Amino acid sequence: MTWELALFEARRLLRHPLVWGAAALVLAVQTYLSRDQQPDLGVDPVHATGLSACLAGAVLMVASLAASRDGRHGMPESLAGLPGRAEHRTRAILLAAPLVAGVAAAVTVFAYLGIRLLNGPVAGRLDPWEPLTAVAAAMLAAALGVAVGRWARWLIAGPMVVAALGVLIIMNTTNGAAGWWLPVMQKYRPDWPDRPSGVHLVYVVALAALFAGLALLRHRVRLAPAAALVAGLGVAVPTGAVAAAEPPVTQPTSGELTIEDVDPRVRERYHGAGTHRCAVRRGITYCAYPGYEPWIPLWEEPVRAAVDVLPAALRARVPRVEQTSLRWYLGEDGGATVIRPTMTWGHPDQRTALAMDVAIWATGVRDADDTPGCDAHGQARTVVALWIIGQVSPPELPRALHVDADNRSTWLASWGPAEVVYAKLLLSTPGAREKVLARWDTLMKPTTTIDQALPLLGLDRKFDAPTGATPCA
Amino acid sequence: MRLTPDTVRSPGNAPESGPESGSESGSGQAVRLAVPRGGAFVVRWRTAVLLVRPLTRAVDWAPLAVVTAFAAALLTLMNAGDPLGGADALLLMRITGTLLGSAAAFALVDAMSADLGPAAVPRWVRQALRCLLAGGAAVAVWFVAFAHVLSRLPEGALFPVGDLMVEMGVCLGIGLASAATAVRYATGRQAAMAAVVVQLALVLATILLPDQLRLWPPTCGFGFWDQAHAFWLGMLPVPYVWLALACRDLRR
Repeated sequence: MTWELALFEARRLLRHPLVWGAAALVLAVQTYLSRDQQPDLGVDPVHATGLSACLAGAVLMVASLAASRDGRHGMPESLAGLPGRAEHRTRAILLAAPLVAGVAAAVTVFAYLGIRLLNGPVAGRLDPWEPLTAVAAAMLAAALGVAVGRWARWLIAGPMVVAALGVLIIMNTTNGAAGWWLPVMQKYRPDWPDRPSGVHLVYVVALAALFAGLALLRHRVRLAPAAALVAGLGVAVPTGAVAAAEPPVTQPTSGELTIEDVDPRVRERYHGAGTHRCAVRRGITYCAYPGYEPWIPLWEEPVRAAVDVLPAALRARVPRVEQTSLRWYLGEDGGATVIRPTMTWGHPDQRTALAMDVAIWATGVRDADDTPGCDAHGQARTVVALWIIGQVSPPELPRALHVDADNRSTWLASWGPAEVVYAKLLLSTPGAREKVLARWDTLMKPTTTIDQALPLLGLDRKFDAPTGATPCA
Repeated sequence: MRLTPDTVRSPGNAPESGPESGSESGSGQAVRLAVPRGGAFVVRWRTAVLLVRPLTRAVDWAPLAVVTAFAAALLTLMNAGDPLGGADALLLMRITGTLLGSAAAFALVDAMSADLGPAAVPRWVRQALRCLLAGGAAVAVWFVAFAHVLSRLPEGALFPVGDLMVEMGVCLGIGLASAATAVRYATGRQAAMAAVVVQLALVLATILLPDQLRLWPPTCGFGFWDQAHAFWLGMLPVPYVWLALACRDLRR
């Protein structure tokens, strides 16, 4: 009888609009959120776990409604005359709800990962436990929902448990130590230490068994549910403790950083020997962290566009393009490498940032070492630098560029609308590259003003472009 | 709906009470009202006043009580001993508001609603009273929670009281209106869960909009906060109009 009931409940749950609606919504939202990010198999499954928590919330409410259904609609009196007891119904829902929840989560997570794989070159290393945790978290939510539905009289209890867990999960962005006691830890960055994902998966499954036993114990004390409860507790406590013992990532503070500031778990990965895999493409060396080599052609495109307009002498000695984790970057190479893609790729600003790295290196518009920030107004090479960047994205006023999920990068030189407009004019002038290359040395002198350069570039004078008080050296 | 009966039966002895509280409600006395010359409005007003006590007993207060206890625990235990950050306080107030709105919606479930067609008191009066009772209690609890959060904020923190009240007003209205609609079509307590579901769906649908359209700015007073709250203010009447429509009689 339990099987027939379980099948009935499974069909009912599968048809529930909250279950498939949440699954579709989660998939759509997660795909939308990562629309301009290149797939990274280290991070994407963790993000999928985070949003699968939304699906788990919906499942929890539906399961608690299903478990408490026989207490509503005047059912207790009608059901009292039937052979099946409440315990059968609980057991049936406990069979059906985690199954349906697991299937819904699996479809969502694997569909999402499939969409990601089609999105472009895939980087990073897949941790197979992460997508499985997303599935297990939904199953845990189903078992917890049944327990809540059986033990709490009030229907509002389901949403309340969802809200409580939701707040804790959302507020747990720093991966604090106690965070691993939560079923889902949704924040992760590619350059953070590895997660204790395997032991955490065991913890989540044990919690599901615990709550399933707890739900059945509502009716009467029997061996199987009591054993499930004790076993669940016996596994969940040590595994939870092991995961929670993993210290949170140490976020470097600002100021002078040393190797001591780098989290010991990633020191070898970012500062050991042979951290990068390099490839030479058309005379430029590109170095990526292991697993990120598929992104090299993506970096090559903006770098190439910017480098191609430079004089041949410069093109022959373009510095290495080296992927850098800005979180753990200590500046130890003293500026030898200047073109730095970061740990993520896809935001349009990141292309601009690479072109800007090329432009800064080629034109030498940079501040003196001791005083950050300088005034690039009125200098001819500022217009040339903006024109080089313009090969990749339209020139604009100084602003912080999105180079990473946690980092913004600003070129510490200031310029104004006049420089931007002249750079745009230069971009639309036919034969501009030849004119720039012919007068490159003159244009690159810090003392050459825009007014002096306009005739060389074949542009008409349209604005005043005075030089600033603290011009860039 | 222009009936002006000279006798209005106090609904205490059953019609308004849900199954949970039916046994407690009222003594069944008929209350005699002299119809004043002023007409139906005065009668209705006095009937509504008479209905307050039995309805107070009929309403299921358990969800509000549970959510109140939960909110108290949440607001006290979160970062206990330390001042609350502005963003955390904002999140907590929004979650408390959403849950209180959902809990208040349970008051709209009237187990007798199908049989009350011929009752002398129109449905909208009864439903409006239920909204006022439970909504008033929810707002009162929310104000206490708000006062507590304000006392825990660090000195000089920016926390716009009025804007958050508008947000809360819209959320409560949406909760009540969706439950009021659901109880028209479904019987049983679970109809009130429509409040949770509709709020959840709307939050999920709006939380990830781009910054310019974002309705839930995460930092008080920054970014597009003012524009978002101008929109919230404009939206304020919508759920209440919807609620008024949903509280009409079942058959017309």
